[in-house]
Amino acid sequence: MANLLVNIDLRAGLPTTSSIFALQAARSVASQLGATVVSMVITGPVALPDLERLARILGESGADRALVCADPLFSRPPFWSDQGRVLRLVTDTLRPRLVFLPAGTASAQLGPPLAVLLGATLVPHASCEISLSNDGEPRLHIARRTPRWDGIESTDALATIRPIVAILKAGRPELVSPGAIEAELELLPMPATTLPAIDVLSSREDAFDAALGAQNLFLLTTDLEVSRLNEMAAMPEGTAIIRNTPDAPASNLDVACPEKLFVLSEQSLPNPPPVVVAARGNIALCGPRKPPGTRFTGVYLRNDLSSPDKLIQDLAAIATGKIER
Amino acid sequence: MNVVVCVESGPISRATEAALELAGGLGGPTEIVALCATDGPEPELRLTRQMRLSRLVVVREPRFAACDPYVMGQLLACAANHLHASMVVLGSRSDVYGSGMTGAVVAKFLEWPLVSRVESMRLDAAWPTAIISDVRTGGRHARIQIPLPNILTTAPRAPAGGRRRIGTLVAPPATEHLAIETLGMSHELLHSIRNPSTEIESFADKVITAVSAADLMEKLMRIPPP
Repeated sequence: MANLLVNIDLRAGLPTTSSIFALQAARSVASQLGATVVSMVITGPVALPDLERLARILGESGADRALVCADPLFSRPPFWSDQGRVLRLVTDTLRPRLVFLPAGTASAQLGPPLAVLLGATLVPHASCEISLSNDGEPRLHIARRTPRWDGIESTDALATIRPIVAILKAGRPELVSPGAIEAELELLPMPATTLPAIDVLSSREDAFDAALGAQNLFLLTTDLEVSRLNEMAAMPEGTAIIRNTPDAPASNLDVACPEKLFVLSEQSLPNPPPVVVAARGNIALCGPRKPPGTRFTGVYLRNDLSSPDKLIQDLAAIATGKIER
Repeated sequence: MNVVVCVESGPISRATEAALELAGGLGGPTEIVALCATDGPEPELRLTRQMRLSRLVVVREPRFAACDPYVMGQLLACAANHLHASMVVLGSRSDVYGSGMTGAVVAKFLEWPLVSRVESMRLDAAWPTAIISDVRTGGRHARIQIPLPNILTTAPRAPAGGRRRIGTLVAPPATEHLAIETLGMSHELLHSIRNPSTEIESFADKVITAVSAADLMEKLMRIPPP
């Protein structure tokens, strides 16, 4: 495996938490298998000092190389008809066997056509880990929830015929020591495209975006005030709370792919979101038989809200990881 | 304008239901065609009047069971061409492996633009050769204009704050069968149908129920490591 490509999603010129997590995951794989981590940034115009800062951040997070294509066209929200031309140019040159995309809505746009471009298998909600087989050969497990969310599927990326494009689930990046080596910065030209352009008529901040990098995600379908949940003193970093509203609908949860999902409802949901397995009791957990490296936990809570303090206490206990073995 | 909505065999997913609803709401002189390629039962469509489905077309082939999304996508592209489609709409995870590649394969084969997970769609009165849609991407909630012809995928529709109202159900149109030979697919492609699940190991979940977080933790502790 010569090149491991990681697409980087930016907000305000900086990589998202999910992008840093994907980069660190790639670094871990590349260090064990002897590959080069190539980060790909497609962005609007960037000043030179900001580019250098970006290369430093990417280098500290594990990238050997930082390919940057900056053009005013990429100041708009990402679509395949725009960004695909750059990804085509890069993949034609690098021929990666493994591509990591960070959790988020941009990857939902770019992942499927990128996989088809490479003739690859697309693995959404992916996690990865290396193990050794009985004969000492490395195995690179790319795992995900099954489409019905009733189990785990795992593929050995080193044994498959096709390349793999993995949209990683959200995770908390490890702290890195500043001053590590800078990624080698390369500026790419703007390639031409044959696809007709998509016009962006208007855009605003996505209310769901904050939830996309969350490891602990609470979905409220109750009247419990968010302010009460925010009172949780022990709420760990990487936790997001959203309401199931038209502006941030639960249907986006399959893009968010948190490690732990908590759904709070006063009654059984008539159509639970696809990531929620209906519970037979007040609290249900999906898991925990998992292959190495997969840590998804889904919790579906039904509560009559008669004792919100107890509910908050329970949620805090779960969110702080006390249920982790 | 012909709009082809790709639907599953048997019960349809909520993403496909959203695709049918959004296509039905397009307005204008549109004919909505549901297309299903299957080796199994016919689609179980719960149609409302708003879905405005005109035709239900089924392509039947015994080798479709768990076939590769690359083959299924090419077949759907050939069928969409045959049906003179100007637009193809699919659920965002509309292959049997739930990876969401089928729409991208159709888009590549037809060389049409692809936008994933649209939340709305309507014909642009000012420019009738485009669709206006709302979509989330890269931290933005954007309203976009997508030129026709195009491929759109839809996210599963979840109820916003409660039970969704379902209108009066209407009977689906009579099923039309389309022979695979009429679609211009090569025999080599059909012979290449393979089941990629042979490369996948599966592990089933064990569901635990508990009455409190403490109870849950205690039960978890009793489970031996995998």
